[in-house]
Amino acid sequence: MSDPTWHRGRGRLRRWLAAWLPDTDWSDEFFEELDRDLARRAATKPGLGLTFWYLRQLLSPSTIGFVRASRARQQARWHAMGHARLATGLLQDLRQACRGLARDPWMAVLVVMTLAVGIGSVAAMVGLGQRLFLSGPPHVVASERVQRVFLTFDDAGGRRTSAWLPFNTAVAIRDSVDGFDGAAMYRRAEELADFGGRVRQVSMNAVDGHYFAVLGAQAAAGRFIADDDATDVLVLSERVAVEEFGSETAALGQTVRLGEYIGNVIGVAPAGFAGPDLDRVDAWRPLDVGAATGRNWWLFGRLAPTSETTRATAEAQAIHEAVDPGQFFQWARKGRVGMAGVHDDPTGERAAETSIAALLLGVVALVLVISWVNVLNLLFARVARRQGEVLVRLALGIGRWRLARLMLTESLLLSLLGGLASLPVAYGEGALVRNVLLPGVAWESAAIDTNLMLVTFLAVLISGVLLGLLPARHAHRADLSGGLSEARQGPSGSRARLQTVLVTSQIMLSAAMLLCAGLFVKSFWTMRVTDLGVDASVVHVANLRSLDAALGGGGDDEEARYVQALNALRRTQGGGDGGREVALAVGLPFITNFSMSVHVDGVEEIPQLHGGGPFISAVSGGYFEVIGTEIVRGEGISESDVATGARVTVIGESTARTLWPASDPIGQCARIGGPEAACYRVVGIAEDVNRQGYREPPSLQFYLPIGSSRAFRGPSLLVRSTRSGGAYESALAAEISSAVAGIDFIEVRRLDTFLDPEIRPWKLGAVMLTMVSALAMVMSLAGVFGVLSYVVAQRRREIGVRMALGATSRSIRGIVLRKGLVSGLVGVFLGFAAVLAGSRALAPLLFETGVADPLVMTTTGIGLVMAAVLACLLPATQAARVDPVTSLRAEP
Amino acid sequence: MSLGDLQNLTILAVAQLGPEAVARQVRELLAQRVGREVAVPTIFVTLTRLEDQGLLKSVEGDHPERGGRRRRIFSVTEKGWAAVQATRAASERLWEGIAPQ
Repeated sequence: MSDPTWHRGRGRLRRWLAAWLPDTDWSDEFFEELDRDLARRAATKPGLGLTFWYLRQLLSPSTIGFVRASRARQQARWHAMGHARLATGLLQDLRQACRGLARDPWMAVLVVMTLAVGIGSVAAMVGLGQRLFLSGPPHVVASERVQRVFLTFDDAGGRRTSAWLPFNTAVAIRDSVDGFDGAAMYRRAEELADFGGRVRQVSMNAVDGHYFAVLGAQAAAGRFIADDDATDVLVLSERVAVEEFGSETAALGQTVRLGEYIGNVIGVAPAGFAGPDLDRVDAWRPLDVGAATGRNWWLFGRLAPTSETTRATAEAQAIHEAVDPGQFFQWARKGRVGMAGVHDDPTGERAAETSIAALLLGVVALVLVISWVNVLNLLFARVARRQGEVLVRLALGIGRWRLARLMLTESLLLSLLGGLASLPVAYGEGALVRNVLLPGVAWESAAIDTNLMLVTFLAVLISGVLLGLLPARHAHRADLSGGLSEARQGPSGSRARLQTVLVTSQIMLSAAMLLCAGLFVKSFWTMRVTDLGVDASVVHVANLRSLDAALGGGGDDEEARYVQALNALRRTQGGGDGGREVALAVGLPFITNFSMSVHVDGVEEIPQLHGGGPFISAVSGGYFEVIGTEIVRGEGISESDVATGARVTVIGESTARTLWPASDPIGQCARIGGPEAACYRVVGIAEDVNRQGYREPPSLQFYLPIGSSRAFRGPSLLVRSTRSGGAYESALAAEISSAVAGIDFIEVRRLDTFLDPEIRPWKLGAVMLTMVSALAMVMSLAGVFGVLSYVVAQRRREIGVRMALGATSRSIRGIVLRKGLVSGLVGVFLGFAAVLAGSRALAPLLFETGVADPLVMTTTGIGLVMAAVLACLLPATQAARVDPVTSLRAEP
Repeated sequence: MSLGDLQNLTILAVAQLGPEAVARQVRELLAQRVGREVAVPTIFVTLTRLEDQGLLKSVEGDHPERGGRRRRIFSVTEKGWAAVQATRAASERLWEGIAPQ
């Protein structure tokens, strides 16, 4: 038989039957006979147009009789088999469900993808949020009772806080506040550690004997530092212990040198333990009381069961006022004591990471809502599409319970696939956030929270099951003969409206998210292009560390090494690193700020600027060229100034305006170090430089020739180069260590990486929001696409009638496009309105960007509408291609 | 047990065909000998029902016609024989005393 209509019709018929017929032991034989018989009949009636519909009519009703009989037979057999029946039944349900899904593969793919993104993102983000602000620091018992103590200062520049407490104050508060069950002090430092010849830089906490007890943590091996411990003990983190000694227990008893400190490892902290902080800690050593008095400390306490924060704060304030902080710490007297939970920043303010993580969590909850709505929508479309199928099944004698089970199996299968697909999404997102965006945080557990994943999964499963039951429920009320013809007519009015509402709300949510993402991207960008007064992205800072120097082996040796390195790098300039410039400096922006009192003859007390200071840097010749700070007037510090020890200074622009508002600052004298100090003659004015970070008012700034004052020790080597990256940093370190002897460790970092912690929340927000909202966007558009193509499929007959009556393809396309566009525009409008309504909450999270930023709004608005048009285009084209003859003939 | 006309004919056809009694042959035999065209599904339904009632039994067998393809070969059970005989007896009893027209 060569008639193509016959072949197509025969294939369709076979598929149609296969869908209804249970796999009985002889259905194959039946098909074969049927086929043969139909072929014979077809041969006798050539040219009749043996379409599927004609063939189907030939079959009924005896075929339906056979299907019913086979089914009854099979059910009887299952009944006889007893327990085996359920398993066989389930297996068959599964097979039928797979067949059902395969009949509508795009719908299935969309649902699975939507579920995957929804569940995956939520699992990843909640895992993140839990660590950042829900569960508190890992291994800390009842962390909500642990409070940080800090000082707040109200001055002209507004409120600022300091986590640093002078030793005397810290000890007095630690030992005398009755509102605390216990309190502990500590400080952080980066130190060189020598693990039997392997030197690496570690993040070290010097802690008092109460530290571990107050936190309530338990050692993973050995024990923690206690109050009566001698000063030769050390606790390592699990990570370092495993990396350096192979295992936690192997590390016990080993001798490790940490800077000037030598200790025996007595314990290993459990994985992820970082004390009360977020950032990773590698080692803990007891504080050295001898050296401790001259330093500032961080303090935290555990509230007594009957105590409140307010009471403890009042007590601490009284102690703070009564204690003399010591000669160098009089600044602290102006401060008031504050307390905040350990979930917050060490400065007592809510960490920006925490706020942004909270925002992200909200956003991800939205993603889940969107994905749920999307699944709902797609399944709705499916319900309507399968109404006809359900009725045919009922006509063929399927039981209601069995029908429900079939639908249920399909939903379960979909949810299961979605759950499986969500695993890589969750791992990917979790790993991305952890490793790329929050690298310093001590992560304790796996990238995703499995419990949470299970809960989300179950929630989606339940909703999927309920949705799966809808068609079966509908079938209960269905009138068989009426339903069969109605099933092809299209969705009823209320369902169509519901679908439109669902699609519009999806677009609204994703528009709101996308706008937020746009605002974060703009904030991030604004931050990146902020003029800091230095070219932080092309300057590398090299610190040469040696264990001898750490042991107090002489600062002079250390400085000599820096000069050696400077000269060596200057000599080899151009060697594979064209245009390299090098300089030395003590007191670098974003890293170390030295402050001394400055006196100007004829001025009683120099005025203060909001940005603080005076900040003093001691720099070598060429410093301004290397770091990229412009000399506005006069000249910079030259090599000969350094060589001759000339008492000259370069000042910042704001400094010049503040100290000499009426006269020319060049040639004036500033006494740096106090009224009796030597006079430094102003030779130049440099542009203002940010000293601490991105957001900062102007400050008083002075630059002196390096070596002109013994007060400035501990230089850094600055290298300006257009090259960067890990390989360049290692090459630079290697070059320095080959040129200079006696260096154990060289740390090379680009200057802007010191700003990373500040920019990180915005980076996190920008990257995560963009990613998540793009996903949400894709989902919403998939929803638009799915619903529209479904509507087109349903209205095929109507479109056929319209075209038969003279509608052009163009006008048909217009109908579909309009439907999609109205949803799109309304959704975008509502989404933007929602963001503007929430601007009070959002505004503090943005950096110099208004919530109603016209550029961001226009870009996202246009982008969204264009995307909506794209999503409508294919269904619209499908609609325009409807052949009226086929569509009218096909549907009786 | 009383058999329907098609059921009766089907059992007899199966008995007639012996080891050849597969669905297709049964259908063809009915068409050739009795002149009764039965739809494909109908013969399958009938065979299935008769087997369910225990009047026929079936085994999976190789059909020589089709290169070893598995087919269902039917045979008549004791109960089946009893049923056709009962039908025949009933029919014959009614025929008794009717003069040929």
